[in-house]
Amino acid sequence: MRFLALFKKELREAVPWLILAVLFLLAIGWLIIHTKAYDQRQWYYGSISNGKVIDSYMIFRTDIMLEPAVLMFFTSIGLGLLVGIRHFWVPDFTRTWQFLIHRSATRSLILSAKLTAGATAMFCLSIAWLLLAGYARVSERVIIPPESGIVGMGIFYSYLGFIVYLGIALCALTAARWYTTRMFGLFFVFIMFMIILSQTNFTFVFCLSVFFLAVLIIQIYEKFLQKEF
Amino acid sequence: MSEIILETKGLTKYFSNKAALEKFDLQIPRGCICGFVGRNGAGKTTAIKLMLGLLKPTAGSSAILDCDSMSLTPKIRRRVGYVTEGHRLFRWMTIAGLESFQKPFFDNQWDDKFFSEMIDYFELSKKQKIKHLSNGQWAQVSLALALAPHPELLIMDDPTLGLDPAIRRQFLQGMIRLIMQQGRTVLFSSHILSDVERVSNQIVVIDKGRLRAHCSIERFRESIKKVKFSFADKVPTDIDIEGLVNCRIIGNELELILVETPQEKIAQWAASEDAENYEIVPMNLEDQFIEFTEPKKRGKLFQWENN
Repeated sequence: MRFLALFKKELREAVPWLILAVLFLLAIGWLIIHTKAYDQRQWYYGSISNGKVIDSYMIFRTDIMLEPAVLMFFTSIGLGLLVGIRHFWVPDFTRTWQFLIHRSATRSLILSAKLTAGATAMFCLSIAWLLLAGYARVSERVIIPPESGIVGMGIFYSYLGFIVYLGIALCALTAARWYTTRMFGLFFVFIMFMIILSQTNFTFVFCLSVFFLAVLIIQIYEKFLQKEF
Repeated sequence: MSEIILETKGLTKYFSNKAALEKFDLQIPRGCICGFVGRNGAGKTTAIKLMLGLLKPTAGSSAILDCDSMSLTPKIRRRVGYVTEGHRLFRWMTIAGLESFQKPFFDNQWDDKFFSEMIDYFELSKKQKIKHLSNGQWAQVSLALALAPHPELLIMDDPTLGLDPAIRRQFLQGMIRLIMQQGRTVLFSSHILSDVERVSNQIVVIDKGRLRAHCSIERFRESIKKVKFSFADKVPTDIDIEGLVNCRIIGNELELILVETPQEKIAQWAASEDAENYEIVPMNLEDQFIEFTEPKKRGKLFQWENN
């Protein structure tokens, strides 16, 4: 019950940003899909016909979800950033930490409710991504449906958004000054992105990101237990 | 001897190199209504946060209900109500939302009826959003939230700050409702001495991070005296009298603030310094507090003070 109360409160605080991110992703993603679908139709009906010879480079088409995937990448990073700020920074400005901390719940429970709400927000964004991908798959306007690999990539991006959320959380919970180790969380996430995005082996990338995730969560847990409010 | 519900031993807190609290020793017995007073920046909020384990002490320790403040368990926290400075609540919630958020943390301890009564008493509606309430109403909601689980110990950090006199009185009446319940202990910090005088039976004075006094209100009232001496010609400047806290020369009159100085010692000193006459000027608690904590020339330390 206590966890549920805390989780509901944290999720409710994330909801405005989540709605904004979902609407942004769906609206811009839909526009991109429609533009790309138009291009596909132009190409298909203009270039492909029985017995017609075309150059091989003309056959190569980028996946219809490639550009929406880039959009998903930035949307999930933005959402991770905003929800992280809402959960871990705003209580500093509004001075509501004391009210939240002094209750019959352990600090671990309070933190786990926050992190679960953050993860749920990112999960909801990945559902929106799946809806977008599902639309691209079933829409009759789309000549070449998206590949499942790129759909999976979009889900992975929402996971990266959660990593950004954790980076922000670590920054906010660190008591050091801004120009010293307080930026470590974001710096760590930046380095992690550099490494991850330069790799091509998905299994390796996944293992690496799980490792980074574990490092961040352990750090956040320690900082939260030690933090002075 | 009554049970000690809150205790600090040599509690010290430094922020960088600046001492916010130094060697702060305090014992609050059960059933005590304790007014915690001090000037701005005296260390009241720091002391309260240390007591509640929200800050880590640089040295010393603090315990609430026999549990060290740094390791307060959820069970202990459930028995301690806390009204934060500025009544910072979640602005997007309604009063009903806040109630349903708070309730699960107290199990059967939460008194729905009492909470509703308090909200009605303060003429609020549960449908109101916190962000649409005034400062005074925030304070009222804070108090109702803190009182509804009937805490054994209620700690309030400047709960009446920024409230108008009518709301303040209503707030204090609400507080008195808790006090009426037997065995409840209240520690509340305030700048408003008349509030302290109205509801508390003990006073704790903190100044520059140090405990200056902890006694009953009556003892505090009796101990601090302003004595005005008149001199025919030269007013003495080298003053040596027991319990001197502050002195002021106005023309050929000398005002001394004395603490626990016996009447006969005052008379003796007046005779030895050839004072024409002297009178004890009546002071209210606020005047006494201001004179007592005014950073001026000091004589010997007050009996209750820490060295």
